[in-house]
Amino acid sequence: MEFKEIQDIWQHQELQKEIKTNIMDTDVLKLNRKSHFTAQKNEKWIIGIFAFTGVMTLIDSIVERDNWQAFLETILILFIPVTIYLLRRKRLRRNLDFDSSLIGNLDQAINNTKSTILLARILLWGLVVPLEVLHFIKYWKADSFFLKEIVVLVMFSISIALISWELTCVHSPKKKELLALRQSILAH
Amino acid sequence: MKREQQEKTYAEWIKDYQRLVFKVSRVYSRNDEDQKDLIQEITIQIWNSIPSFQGKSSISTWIYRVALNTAFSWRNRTKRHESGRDKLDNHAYLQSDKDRDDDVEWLYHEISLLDPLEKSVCLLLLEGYAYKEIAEITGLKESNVGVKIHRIKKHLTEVSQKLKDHGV
Repeated sequence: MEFKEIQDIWQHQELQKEIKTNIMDTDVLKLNRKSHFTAQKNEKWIIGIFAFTGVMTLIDSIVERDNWQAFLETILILFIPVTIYLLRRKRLRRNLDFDSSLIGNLDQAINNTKSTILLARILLWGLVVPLEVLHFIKYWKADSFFLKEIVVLVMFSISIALISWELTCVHSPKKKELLALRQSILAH
Repeated sequence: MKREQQEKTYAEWIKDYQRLVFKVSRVYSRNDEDQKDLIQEITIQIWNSIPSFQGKSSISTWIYRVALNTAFSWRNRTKRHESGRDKLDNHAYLQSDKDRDDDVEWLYHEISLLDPLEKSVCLLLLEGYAYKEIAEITGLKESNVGVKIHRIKKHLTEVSQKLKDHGV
């Protein structure tokens, strides 16, 4: 075969696959949808669980009138769904500010991830840590460090460790990855 | 450059030069997954390069340069995994889909056997670029390009002749 013939074969080849012209847009859109789904799932579960638990502990604290600790626990637990609900509204409102362009979708994904990080921090420092401290004080005062109490404190510690792990190993790297992608796209 | 303008240029370039991106990515990747990764890397680099394009060369020459440079650095990053995949891909080539154009498949296979720099020269040569342009894009001296082109042409014509003689 002459080289000219080989060149003809090359130049007249059919494309085996179509490259999507918006390949980057599609990937960013997927990232955006995933971040929205994660944030939404976390918000709905937390609002549901803590609203229910809050109502239950509120009934308990009404029954035990003089128990200030039970009352404080109720406030703490009810504070969570209200805060998360407000956080969710803020996140959704903020998402409306972004357009449907490549950068707009990426900014939405960053906004969703930041909201998920804030949610985890609120859960950690606004509920789990204070609840553990409250329980510790309660057991200390009652001088009742038996198996049941120790198990409760250990469970709180495990929750703190799990939330911290999720923050450090899942959500924060995700945020960094998205910010790096944004920087790479905007780099001139 | 405004972002809207950059996005418009990007969409136009990718639409008009996707064949080019496809060919470069296929030559430098070993399988479909690699190719997808490389296409994404090249498209991101094309996006980044838009503001620095001054129109001194043609758009296709510019995109070729960006695509080849990206393919080179991508290949270096993924080099450590290559040796194990070569065998697998040669095997895949031997069992290639009958619907595919055998001549084109053969050509990609032959190009895959060249060293990375020769791959670039071969690609540009097949596209019909002149020696001077190939030298400009690859950063090689014209005389060096001439030597490589002579070797590539000789190799491809000889191999195709052998295949023809064996009735393949």
